[in-house]
Amino acid sequence: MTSGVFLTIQKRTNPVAVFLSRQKDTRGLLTLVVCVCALLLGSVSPAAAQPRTRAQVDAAVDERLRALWEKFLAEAAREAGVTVVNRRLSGARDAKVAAYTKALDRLQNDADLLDLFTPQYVQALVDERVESRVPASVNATATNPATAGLPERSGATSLLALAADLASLAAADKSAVSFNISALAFVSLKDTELYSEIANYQRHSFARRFTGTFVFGAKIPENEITGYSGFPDFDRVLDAFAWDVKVRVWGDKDPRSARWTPITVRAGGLLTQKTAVIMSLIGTTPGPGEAPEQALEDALIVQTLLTKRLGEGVAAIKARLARSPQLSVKFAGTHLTKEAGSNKYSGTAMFDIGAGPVDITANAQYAITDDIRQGVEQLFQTKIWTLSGQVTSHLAPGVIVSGRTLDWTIGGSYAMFVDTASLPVPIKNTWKIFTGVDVPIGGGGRIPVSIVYTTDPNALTKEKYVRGQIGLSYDFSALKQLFSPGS
Amino acid sequence: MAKKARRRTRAATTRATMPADEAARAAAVPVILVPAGSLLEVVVVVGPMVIPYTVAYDGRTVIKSLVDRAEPVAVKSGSFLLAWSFAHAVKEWSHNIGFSIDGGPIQVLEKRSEAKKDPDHSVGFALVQG
Repeated sequence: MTSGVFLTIQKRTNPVAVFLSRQKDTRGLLTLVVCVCALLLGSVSPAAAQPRTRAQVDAAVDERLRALWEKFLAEAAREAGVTVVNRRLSGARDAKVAAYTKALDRLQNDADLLDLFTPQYVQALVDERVESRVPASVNATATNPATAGLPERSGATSLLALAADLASLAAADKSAVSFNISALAFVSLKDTELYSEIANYQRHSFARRFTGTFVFGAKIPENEITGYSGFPDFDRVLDAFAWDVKVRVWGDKDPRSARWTPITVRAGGLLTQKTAVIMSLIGTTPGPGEAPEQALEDALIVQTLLTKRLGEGVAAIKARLARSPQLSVKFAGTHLTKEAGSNKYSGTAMFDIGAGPVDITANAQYAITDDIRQGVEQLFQTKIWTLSGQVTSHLAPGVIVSGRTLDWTIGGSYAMFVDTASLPVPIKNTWKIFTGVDVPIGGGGRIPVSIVYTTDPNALTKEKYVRGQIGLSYDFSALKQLFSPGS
Repeated sequence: MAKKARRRTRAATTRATMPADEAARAAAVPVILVPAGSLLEVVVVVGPMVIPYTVAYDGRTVIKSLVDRAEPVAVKSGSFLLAWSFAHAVKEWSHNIGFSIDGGPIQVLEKRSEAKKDPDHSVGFALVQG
């Protein structure tokens, strides 16, 4: 009997439980003392039998996997009418596939394996030190006012992104230079080359709640600042300095978060260990009259089956992460650098949640903009509530490009002005609805096509094609990737 | 001569029972020849990971980790599989697995990355002949 199996049996037939069940008719203090002693012994003995080091735990899991695999494969082979010879099957290919499939299905249903991974084991995996390692560089997706637009995802991290981990301190685009304050956390880290990505994230999990950006030299159309295109010269481009601070207040969709360790490190680790160990157990000895490559047939069949199962396991982990909710708040300011007195301040709540293949994002923003177009002494303020939301469906996974989806987004926003009577011009609330698809293409590119309808036609200036209150946008530039080498 | 021809025919018949894509995959399986007394070392270099990868040899875990590792393999006499399994759930992932014999140059067994649009999971194996 293997040690892993032994452990499970020992747990199920706990000697303390047996002892207590047999002592129902014992009397008085002596009984109590005996029971307490037995409890203490019982709580110590399984722990003493429990593997302690990572190597011991791995060995116990390996032993149990081997025992289960041999048992399940023998059963499945019998049922499929094939025989096990030298740790592989002898018989027709279809029967082999059926037998291996059945054996793997049975192995997948064994829940006791996960119990062997103690919290200490999982933490030791997370804390493992690295001898040489360079932290991955990640693009700083700054909150640039020249590109910002609602709705915005709640986190600096999207589903699986590391955008919060800004290895680069500054990022530049066509019109602005951005400094990302979250990168400061990385600058202050002394152990990025010693610990794993996941350990570093968990050590600084509080600091990672905060992200923010300073943007210098941005040129922004005036209506992007005021939020309204009804003023004269609404599309006048102005020099601006902007900042924002985003705080994640609820949830964490980042897969490196400690809250996901039981799913990623523990369950995911069992998945890869089970996969590699079973794969390595497949025999490769040629049978009588077999060519050497023919002897690899079983290994190739099992590789295909295990790859499919591993893919399903990873997809399930990602789906679980995607379903989790996340709420962030963001405070931002925009200041015109060449026109004194014009400032915009805003506060935004951003919420994300996943539901099956759908991502839902909702934003609520309140913004106040000082306006001195009638002179500093006649400064007035536009105050605006903007509510927006969008739903993104990830459709047809793997149909157009392997491993990628066609993304369909539908959403809308409503801008509601507050205290309009104090404004020098009549202002109406505006709204817009939009929908779009992102079609994946080879080479990693996407072709976005979107259509928008709005009650504010001036807000359509960025669209490629405008007719009345409808705007159409598309970008086929990614098509060139299809014809570039290596795509 | 006649004997040789018969062997060839038998081999061709055997191969014909294997699907063409599988036969191609079989031909591409790396074979690691480890001379007696030599040290086989497996080397793994990874990018950001949250799901530990595993390398196993003949049913035993050689490496299970989230970070770069290099470990010796206790090679047995005969042919056994060295298998590996990687699963990725963070952006900018990558992994490379290779081997070295007696500290010699590292030969790559598998090299995958998100940048190359590879699938986010892989199961591979090599035939180790000790």
